[in-house]
Amino acid sequence: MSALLQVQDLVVRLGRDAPAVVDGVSFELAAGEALGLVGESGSGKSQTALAVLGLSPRGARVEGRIVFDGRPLLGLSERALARVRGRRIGAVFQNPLASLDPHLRIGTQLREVLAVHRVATGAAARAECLRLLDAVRIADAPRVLRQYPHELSGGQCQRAAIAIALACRPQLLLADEPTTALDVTTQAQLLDLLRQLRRELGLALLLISHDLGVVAELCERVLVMRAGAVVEQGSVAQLRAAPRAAYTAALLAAHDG
Amino acid sequence: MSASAPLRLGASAWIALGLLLLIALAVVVGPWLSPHAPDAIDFAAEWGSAPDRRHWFGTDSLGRDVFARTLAGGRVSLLVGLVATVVAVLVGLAYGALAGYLGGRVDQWMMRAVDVLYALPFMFIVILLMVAFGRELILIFVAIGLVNWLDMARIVRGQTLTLRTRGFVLAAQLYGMPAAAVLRRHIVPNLAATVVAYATLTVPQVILIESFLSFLGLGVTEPAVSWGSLIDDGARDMEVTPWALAFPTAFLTVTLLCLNLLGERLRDAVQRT
Repeated sequence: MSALLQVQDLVVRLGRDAPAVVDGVSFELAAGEALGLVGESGSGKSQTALAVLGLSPRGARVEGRIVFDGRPLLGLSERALARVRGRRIGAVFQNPLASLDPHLRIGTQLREVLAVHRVATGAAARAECLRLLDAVRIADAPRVLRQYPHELSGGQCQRAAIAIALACRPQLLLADEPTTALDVTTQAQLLDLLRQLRRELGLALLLISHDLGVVAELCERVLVMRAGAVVEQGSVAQLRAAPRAAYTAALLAAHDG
Repeated sequence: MSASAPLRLGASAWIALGLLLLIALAVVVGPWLSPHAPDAIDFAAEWGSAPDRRHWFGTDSLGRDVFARTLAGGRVSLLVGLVATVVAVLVGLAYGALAGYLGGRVDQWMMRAVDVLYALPFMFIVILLMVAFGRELILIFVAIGLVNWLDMARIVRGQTLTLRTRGFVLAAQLYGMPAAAVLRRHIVPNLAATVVAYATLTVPQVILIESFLSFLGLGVTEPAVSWGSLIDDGARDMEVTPWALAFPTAFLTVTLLCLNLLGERLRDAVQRT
């Protein structure tokens, strides 16, 4: 099975002479697979994700190889990159309220994505919006389309953000702490949703979280990161049964306790 | 910042807003209704007469109606305040948003340029401009606008830097939305509240600069008047006709006070959300 996403020796510096925040990270993600990336804050997991998306902060140095579906992404022009990642990689970010523009209605934001990629316009766009909201299990979709983000709950916002991420029917969904800001029950519902979406759409998932429990819910394989490097990887079961790195054991202990 | 949250400013800000609207209305409509032209000498009245029923604010030492002159001066002062602020906001918004959004080295250079401009003695340059090109009203707009966009550029840049890391901006970039579209659609609208609040604070600054220039005799020229030039005139004859100094000064002071109060309340309201 050839990998959908292949990352080799990824090094990210946030300035020319700055220390590496991501230091030699390598991993592979097969189509339809779910991979978890865990680590404490500052371990470089979010910078890894941003580098994969080509959204590293300006001035950052990114080295190594990132190959998506056989095409190397690093070094591509902005425009060529937009064609690959925008259509085929979707992303959901940390804070559900921050991932939506506060001054635009949900419907407007969804239609905007559809328009940028010329998926659908006019009446077809409206139908597509309703279909997307339906796909993320938002009840009363026609009303939600007319609402602003602050009129929705945190869970609904994050569902809407996922709907936007799915608008271009991506093969890979990258979720950076998608449930962190939500309460426990909403979190469980959202994880359920992600699991169902994976099954229905055959999505590959790269899930980033500090919470090993969340990752274990969804992912077959886990990468444990610390200080910019991968300290351990393996299946969730393996990790639980016999954590090789002391850091993984500490993370596990923190979660169970 | 939610789109429809009620604006909580407090009673004082609403009173200030009411007073400002009243002054603006008087200044715009007043000169049309007043029987006296601002530059006409009333030979029937005693020169330098105290306020009475014929001349509400009295006449100045040349026999011109102070009420009509105060309102006419207000037109110029408020107009300069608004136009120069619009110039400052447009330039500052475009510059700051671009610097903040592009980031990196471009941002560094753009903001160093602002630092350099900050360091120049602006009042001095404005005075030189006035001397070199004559005292055109348009030049006053341009000169004052040029001074004031710097603050706006810094504020807008700071806000843009934080907006740029927000999920919806990252998402828009990810979908391949062109930079210009991201700026227009997602960055600028979300800066609106901040910009409006600081623009309200820019207006009184601008009015004050214009008044100061006019007071120095570098602003508007007769027969045009502004509050600054009226205060200058009034101060010359203040032993004889104190009302010619008092009324323009009162109008200027109340206007500046109200604008500052309103601006500060707006800024606080924006920062709360």
